[in-house]
Amino acid sequence: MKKHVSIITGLVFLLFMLACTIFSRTIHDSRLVKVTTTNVRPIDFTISFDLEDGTNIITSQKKLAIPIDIVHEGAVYLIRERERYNEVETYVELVYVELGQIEGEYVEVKQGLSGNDKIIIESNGQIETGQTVLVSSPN
Amino acid sequence: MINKKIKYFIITACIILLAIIFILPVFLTIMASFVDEEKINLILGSNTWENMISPAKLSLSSYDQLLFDFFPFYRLFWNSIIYSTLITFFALLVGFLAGFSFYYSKYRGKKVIYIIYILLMMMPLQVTILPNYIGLREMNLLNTPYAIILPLVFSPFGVVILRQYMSGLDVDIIEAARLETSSIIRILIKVVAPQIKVCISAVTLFIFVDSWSIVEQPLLLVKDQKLKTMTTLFSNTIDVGMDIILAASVIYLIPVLILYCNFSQHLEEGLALGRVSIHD
Repeated sequence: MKKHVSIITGLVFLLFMLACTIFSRTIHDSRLVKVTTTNVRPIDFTISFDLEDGTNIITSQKKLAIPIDIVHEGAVYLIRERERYNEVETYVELVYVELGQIEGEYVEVKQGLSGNDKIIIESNGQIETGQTVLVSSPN
Repeated sequence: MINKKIKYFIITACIILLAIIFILPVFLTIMASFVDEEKINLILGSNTWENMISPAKLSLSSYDQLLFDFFPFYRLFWNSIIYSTLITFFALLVGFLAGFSFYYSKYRGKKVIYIIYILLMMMPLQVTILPNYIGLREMNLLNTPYAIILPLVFSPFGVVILRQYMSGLDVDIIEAARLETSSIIRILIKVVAPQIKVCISAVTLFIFVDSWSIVEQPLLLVKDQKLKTMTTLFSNTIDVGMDIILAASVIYLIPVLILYCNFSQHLEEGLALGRVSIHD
């Protein structure tokens, strides 16, 4: 009887570990806040300036810009990558930016971001600096 | 009569004290694994008794982090299970066949080879690891699972123990079996194995425990992290938190406990037989 109990316990333990091996990542990902990101991209900003002779020149210039509605108190949330336990994971970082001209839904970023940065435009939960997140639909 | 009772009481008290000393680290590890990370860090960073004995909230956060956050654990766990199972099975097979050969067969140099086996068994790992490394390197087996499995499969421990146990068998039974069949394999399976079942169980347990707790071989013979075992995790307290290590330690204990429960009866029978033979 004791032998049967120990064999069954052993099998249950191995099945439990096998189930954890198969489903652990799914469970881990389901706990993470899912975020939608977009790249910081250059868009055309309208520039208008007057010449000495009074002529008004309207032209456009490409500048780095982000959607204006994601800026909160002069800061935006970025996605960064770090290595943790020999795996790459994405985490959130709050970055303060210097803003400039507004063009429609976008605002110029003078300082704080580069063209390679990915900014969070949407999340399905509360996020804070350092928190690991899951990028659901990278752009 | 009273002296005998006092003597018995003192011996029992000493044994209980020794048992507590041996069990205490295991007990503390299990208890610490059910405490949250804050309390663990408080205990580790503190040098006062108050922090250590103050009540802590029980939590499964260590296990939660180990099982659902620390994914390399699964690779290490299954590597340990696979290596230990393969090593135990093949070491037993090799030990059984080689032990029978040393016991029953007659060939020149048998005693010399057996003495070499005994000498090899007595050599510590620190002496044999370098020749093993060189041999595996020549065979291009370094950084493969075979670097861990093969040296332990051909370990002399099982051979010597099984051969010693077989020396208590009656040769006439094997001779009688040879009259019935010429197949040595059949004789081994039908005649010899049932008679040394107790020893096989004990050797299985010892080989499994030995292979489950190997540290040096995964560290020295294998560089790829994907081939390492659970024991390498416990030395890595810098990259991995103490809470994860404590939870992994408890999970590490479980297979050995289960195997011991499975074979404990045979182990007790084997020890009892040994006690009888000493007093005869």
